[in-house]
Amino acid sequence: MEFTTNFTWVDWTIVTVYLLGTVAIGIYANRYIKDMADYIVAGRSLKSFASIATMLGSEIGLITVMYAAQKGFTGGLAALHIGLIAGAVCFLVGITGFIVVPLREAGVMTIPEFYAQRFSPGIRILGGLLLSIAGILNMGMFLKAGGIFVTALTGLNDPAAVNVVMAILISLVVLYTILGGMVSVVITDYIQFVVLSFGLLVSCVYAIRAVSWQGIITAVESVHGAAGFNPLDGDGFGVGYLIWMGFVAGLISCAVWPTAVMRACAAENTQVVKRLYTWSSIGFMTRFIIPQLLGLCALAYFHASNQGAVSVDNHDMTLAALPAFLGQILPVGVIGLIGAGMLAAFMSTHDSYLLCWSSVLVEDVIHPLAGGQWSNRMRLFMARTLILLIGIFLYVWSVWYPMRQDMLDYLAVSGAIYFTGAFAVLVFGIYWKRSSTMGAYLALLCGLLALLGLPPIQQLLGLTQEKLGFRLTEARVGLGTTTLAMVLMVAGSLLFPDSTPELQED
Amino acid sequence: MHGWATFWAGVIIVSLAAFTVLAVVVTIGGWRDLLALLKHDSKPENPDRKSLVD
Repeated sequence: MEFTTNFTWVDWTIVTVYLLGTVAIGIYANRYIKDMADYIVAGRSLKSFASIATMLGSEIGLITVMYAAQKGFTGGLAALHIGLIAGAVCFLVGITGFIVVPLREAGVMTIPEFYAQRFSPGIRILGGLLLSIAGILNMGMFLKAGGIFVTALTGLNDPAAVNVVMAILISLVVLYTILGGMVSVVITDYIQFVVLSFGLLVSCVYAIRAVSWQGIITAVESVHGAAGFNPLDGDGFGVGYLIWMGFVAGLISCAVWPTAVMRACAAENTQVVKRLYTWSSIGFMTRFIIPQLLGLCALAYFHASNQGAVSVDNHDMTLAALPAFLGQILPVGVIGLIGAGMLAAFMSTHDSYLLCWSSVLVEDVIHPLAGGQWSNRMRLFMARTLILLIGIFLYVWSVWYPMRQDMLDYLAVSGAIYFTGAFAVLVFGIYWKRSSTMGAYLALLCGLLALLGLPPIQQLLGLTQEKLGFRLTEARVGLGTTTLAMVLMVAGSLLFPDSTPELQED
Repeated sequence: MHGWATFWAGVIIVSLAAFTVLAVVVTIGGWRDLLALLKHDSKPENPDRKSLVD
């Protein structure tokens, strides 16, 4: 891929200074860390706006911007339904406190810790293990997206140079996450939120000026036809995909996905939790819609400049469309600021995720297996070691794995290994007194079926459209696995009830 | 298609406006909360902690 860009040494300077400044602040926060609660949930002392800023700072990252823009590019205006559904569901969670308020009331630091309170230590270990596997696989494509972003935005066309930049980025983020924990995550997320949100708004102004609304309509009509406007059209997204997105981009991403739930656990009280989700619904809606608007502008721009010849089938190219577009329309200086904001947001997402998966592995898998007698110092050491190991794995995976689907769909399927089972265990565990440990085991293990949504796995098992008679889409696999997990949770609970009814009354 | 295009144009305008308001409110409110968090972390029962805002 060859890209032309306005990115100059001025922009490189801005990016370098900004990133180093962010890392310095993260390292400085190390002095505030004294125990595991400080490290993971900032001592549970976050108030409303800091909670919202840090939640959105993590959830509106470079990765979100890239995959949402890709969906706008490959799905047309109809892709905007994802943001609408996500915002509406998050708002409902804020109003009702569904799942998140009981979790905050339980006083847990992680979701598997709730499993132990409600079911058994074994469920906690299995849940933590599946969660970590899904989460780390989910992160597996982040570096690739970051690499494509840097390539397309800066015009660095040498793949070796991109790998070096990625290695530097992952090293920096691993360093300050290891040292600073949640306090550094909160501070840097706040900075990232401010820079990225205003950067996105400025980008929108430039993007809309570069194309026109009519240009977008013409491009969508030409490339996608009617399915590019109507999300219910079966040639495009269709009803199944809408339901799947309502579940994944809406309910799961705000109420079950651990990096979001950690913010609920870190909130000062349940009122703050409800306010956090009600306000964040705007963020959960716009984090899709604004990048998708930029993706639509990129579609219109390249449609016009290539005389209508735009392909939406090459996943790497469609992922690169947004940064390539920004690299061509933004002026010197502005591109550096926006690039710095995006890359800082990339690091912001990584720090939250690294912290989350490493703390789950330590607190919910390794520490309980080791007998639960470790000191704070030992647990902190183990969490920091795991962050380093996960960072190395991510680098290897992002170079090796062949991407054969839109990034949003990869993220949804890899995450589904965890959340299909976790959704059933959480909902029934919180709201159904008769749910049992055996039901929870079955529901969690059922989540592994979500792996069937990955094209390389389908190819490996010969699950082709010709053989099955239908296409095994991400939505079918995800919704099917979720339904089966809930059925197994109920059946397992009824057939194998827990022998200690007083536990269920808690 | 014309009806859908108008609908999505409305969604985009509302989103841009809402996101602008959110960005301004959270930037100001978040700054105040962050200062409070750092002061909280330098409370007397943790005398070995330092405050970023001192």
